[in-house]
Amino acid sequence: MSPLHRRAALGLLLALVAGCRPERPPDGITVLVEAPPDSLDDRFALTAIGQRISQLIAPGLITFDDTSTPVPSLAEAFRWRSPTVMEFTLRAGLTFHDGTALTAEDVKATYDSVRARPLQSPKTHRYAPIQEVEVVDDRTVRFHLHRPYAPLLAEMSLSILPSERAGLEGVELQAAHPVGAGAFRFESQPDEEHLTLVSFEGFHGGAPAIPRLHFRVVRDETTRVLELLKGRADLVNNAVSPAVLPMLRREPGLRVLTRPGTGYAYLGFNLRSGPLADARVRRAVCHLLEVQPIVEHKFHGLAVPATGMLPATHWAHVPGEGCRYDAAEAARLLDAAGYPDPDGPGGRPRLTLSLKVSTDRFRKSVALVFKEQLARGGVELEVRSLEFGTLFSDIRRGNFEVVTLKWASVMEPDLMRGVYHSSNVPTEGNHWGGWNRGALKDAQLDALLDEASRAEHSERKALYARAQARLDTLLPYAPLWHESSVAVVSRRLEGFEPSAHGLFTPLARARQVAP
Amino acid sequence: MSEASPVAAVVSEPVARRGFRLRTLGGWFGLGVAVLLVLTALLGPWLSPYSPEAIELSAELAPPGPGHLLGAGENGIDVLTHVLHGARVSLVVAFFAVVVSALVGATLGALAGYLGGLVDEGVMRVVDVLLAFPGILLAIFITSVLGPSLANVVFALSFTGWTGYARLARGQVLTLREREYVQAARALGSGSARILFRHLLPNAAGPLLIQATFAFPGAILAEASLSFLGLGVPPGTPSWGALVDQGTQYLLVAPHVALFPGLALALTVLGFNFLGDAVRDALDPKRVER
Amino acid sequence: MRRAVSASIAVVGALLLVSLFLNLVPGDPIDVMLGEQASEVDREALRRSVGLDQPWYTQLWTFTRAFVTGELRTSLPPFQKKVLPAIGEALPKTLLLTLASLLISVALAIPLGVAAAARKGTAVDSAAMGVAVAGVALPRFWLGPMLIIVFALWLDWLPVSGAESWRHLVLPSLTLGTALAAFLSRMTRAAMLETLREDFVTTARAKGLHPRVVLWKHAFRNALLPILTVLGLEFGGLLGGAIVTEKVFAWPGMGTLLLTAIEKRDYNTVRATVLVFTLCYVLVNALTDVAYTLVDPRVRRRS
Repeated sequence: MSPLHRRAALGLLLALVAGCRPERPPDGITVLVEAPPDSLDDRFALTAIGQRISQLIAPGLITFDDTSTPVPSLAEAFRWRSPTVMEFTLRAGLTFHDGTALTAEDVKATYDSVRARPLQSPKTHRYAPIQEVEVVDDRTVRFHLHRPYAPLLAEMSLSILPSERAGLEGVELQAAHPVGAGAFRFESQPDEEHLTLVSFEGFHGGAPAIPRLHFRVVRDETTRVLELLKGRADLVNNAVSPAVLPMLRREPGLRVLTRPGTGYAYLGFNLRSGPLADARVRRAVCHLLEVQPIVEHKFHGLAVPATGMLPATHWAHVPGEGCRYDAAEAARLLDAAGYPDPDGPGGRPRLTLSLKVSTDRFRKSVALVFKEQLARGGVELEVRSLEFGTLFSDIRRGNFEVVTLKWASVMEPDLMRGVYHSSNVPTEGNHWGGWNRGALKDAQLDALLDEASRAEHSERKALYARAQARLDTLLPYAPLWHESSVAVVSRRLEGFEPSAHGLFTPLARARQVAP
Repeated sequence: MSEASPVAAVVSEPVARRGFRLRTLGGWFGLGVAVLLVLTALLGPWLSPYSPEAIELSAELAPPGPGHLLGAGENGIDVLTHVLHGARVSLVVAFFAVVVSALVGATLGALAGYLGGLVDEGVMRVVDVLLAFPGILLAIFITSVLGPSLANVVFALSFTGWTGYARLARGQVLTLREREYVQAARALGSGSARILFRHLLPNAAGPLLIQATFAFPGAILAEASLSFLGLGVPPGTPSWGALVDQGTQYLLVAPHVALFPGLALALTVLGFNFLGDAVRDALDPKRVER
Repeated sequence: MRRAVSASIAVVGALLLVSLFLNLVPGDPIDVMLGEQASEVDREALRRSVGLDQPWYTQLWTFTRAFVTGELRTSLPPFQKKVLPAIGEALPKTLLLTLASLLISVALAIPLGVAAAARKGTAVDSAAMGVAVAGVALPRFWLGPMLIIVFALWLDWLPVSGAESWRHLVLPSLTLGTALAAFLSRMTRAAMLETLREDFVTTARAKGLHPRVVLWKHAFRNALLPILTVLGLEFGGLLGGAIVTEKVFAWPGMGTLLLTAIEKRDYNTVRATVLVFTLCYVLVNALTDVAYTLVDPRVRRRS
């Protein structure tokens, strides 16, 4: 090669390397999310990301603290005037991002719109218990219910929109440039992968100290971690796997913040037929599981063994036993249920069960741990991993023996009614939409859960305690763990208090500092 | 061997007593790798420090160290153990895939070449169809329908692998069948089957052997690729490809999980490529590299 | 003409194989796909959707017609989307990837091969061929992650995965192209050595032309034809290799589409992707033949 060629080649190489350099992060706080929000209109958002971002832009009447107790948001107070009438008092001087005042009329318009058929919101059915929304005065609104229904409070975090945008004609406007009364105001969304919000001076809690928030979609986990390590991102909320956390903790430029979480991981049994229709077999499987080592080593302590659906931090939680490891008791139960050990420890199994799990790497590896744990007790577990859609289609139709899944966030204990009540077994009638996928049918439990959904708040905890006791006997699920809520933040983000539910709203009180 | 006649001795001459000597460093290296692989596959279970199913949660993703010489993977499985046991899976799958392909391919190809006509046409059209699929695609398709298992991998690789031998055997038979010793055997009244299997195929064995030596690393790679895609061995079975797949999830925190099985694989393929070159040079002295 | 016939036989055969393969599965393929506890409703639905309730010639006809008219839908109810739009999105991505890796391998292999041939027997030669030999042996699904470690994690020059910009294309095409580059450089070296021995090269040298001019203008130009042939033949191989490469880099092409469809047990998409892959392969091979005849006058004269 001639010197000229050589120089040209070198130049090209340098240009290539320069082009390879990733772009500088923009000013402000950069938040990485694993998927784009499905909608910025809370009435249509079904994914966690969509709901969390839309509620950051447009909050609802109430929100939830780490014990899942409803606390004021746009409403400064709320109370039951009767078992069928709930009253909210709005804060004084609320304004939307466009400067107009937020009044009880906007609340009514929002709730009327989401309940109306033409909007085709996927959340319409959640508000079916509401008979009428009544505007008492500018700052007071009353919800009249068809019948007593305590769990409705859990749905009252719906984003409040300006009344002129609540109707059908406002949907497009709200989608293109959402407006709410939240701490951050929409600035731009050039494409699905990027979203910028700016601090809203008129926020009822005072203008947030963070001037600008950039949400960026990064689907690959390794890339998210890399962006954090290289200082190109400031917050990743519940989107890194436990395996990388020890490394992130050692990193001086990052902090790992955790809260006990509200998710609930479980082994679900199919009670329709087969060996698991026998409660003794379910209990035996339960006694063979050792959750503690998994929590310790696979979650690095960022999970708590579960005793039931509700985490210890939940207002309705009562202490229980969960699945205590007891191999001797398991062997006794299996003998009694007609599954004797054919040839002593090791050798052929007492019985074989199939476990379905998603293709998620982490879930698959945990499934292999279960397989080994159960094998020690003579129960062979065949692990079959299926793509998510296929897995759900299978379990909805009762095409499984054991399945491991989790409820992402348990806030309202009435979820227990959805999951364990005999009327919620998926059938053709409910379009396979019922959540009682293991087909548990127990009249006593049904009655308790029905009563708890109608009772006043003060009585509910006791009723759920009795329901949980009943579930401990029936064991339709083997409780596994509650995963912690984990936020990884850079040194530029200060004062961020992560929420147990993974909400972004704590960003309103956080600060941006020079690192 | 009743008819050890002078004619028969002449007939078998071309294949007999050709010097088989490795001439190059690469050849010796390849032979070394092959021997090492076979020894590992045979002795793996005794050499490996752990059982491949052993789970040790507290060692999850541990870096290489005294407890785990090559580190630990997901659930604390020992990488060294999986690499050693993986050699066995690789070797067994590749061996059976190559043997089955070679037997099926050589037989069909030789028949096609010898009988000609409709048989020839039929076999060669099937070969054309199979060759119309890009490399691994058909194997992916087959295993995706049959499900992951070692037998299915062997089947999938043989299903696609026999075509090369068929073409080769056919070509060899076509040229050989006009040779004098074949004519002589025919004149002496040997039957078709006898001529085919006793005279033609043995003399076509050299090129077929070369082909098989080159196909071997190809089969090892194919098994590893299928397992990497989750279509080869069932989950939990030690395989180099499956281990690399596991490791790609932990490149940041535990690069050793993907590194070592991949090295083993690359070394094996390299060794067998060299061995293939050497075997070709040894069997075909005219074709010594420039 | 003979080529065209043989290509169409291959396509028809592929169609037969793809649409009827489920019939070759021992036992009930529906069992294999859905598992034993599946409800009868689901089993019947899938059986109908992949056509297993029909005699084989009807299956073949139904699948072919649906495929050709673009009416083919994903297998599993209730959400049966059309398959063709997904392929329309994925195919260009895969072609982009394979073309980029073809370019990369040519850019790497030709200088390497020519340099090795020009300095035959020197350290340059040994080094170049050593690299080439190793390059052939590196499995793509391992090379990819190693490139990620070096260029994305350590050096932080290139992204780990995805397909948003040209920067995302570099590592996947390097991964896919390395084996071909290695093979091609050996081919180039061999072809160059062949031509360097020819009389006209000796004559050119004797005339006192600059060695570089002789190397590139005389020798390389004549070595180009065998190199081009190999390139055409190997392009199809890249299509197969793209499947593994796409998985490593989450590249949204045909390979990813195929693997996702397998995970979803969506056998209509699986069959359609396999078929499109095969069509591309046959087409590329046919084009190579045509190109070869155009480039090489000797071949043209013969046919």
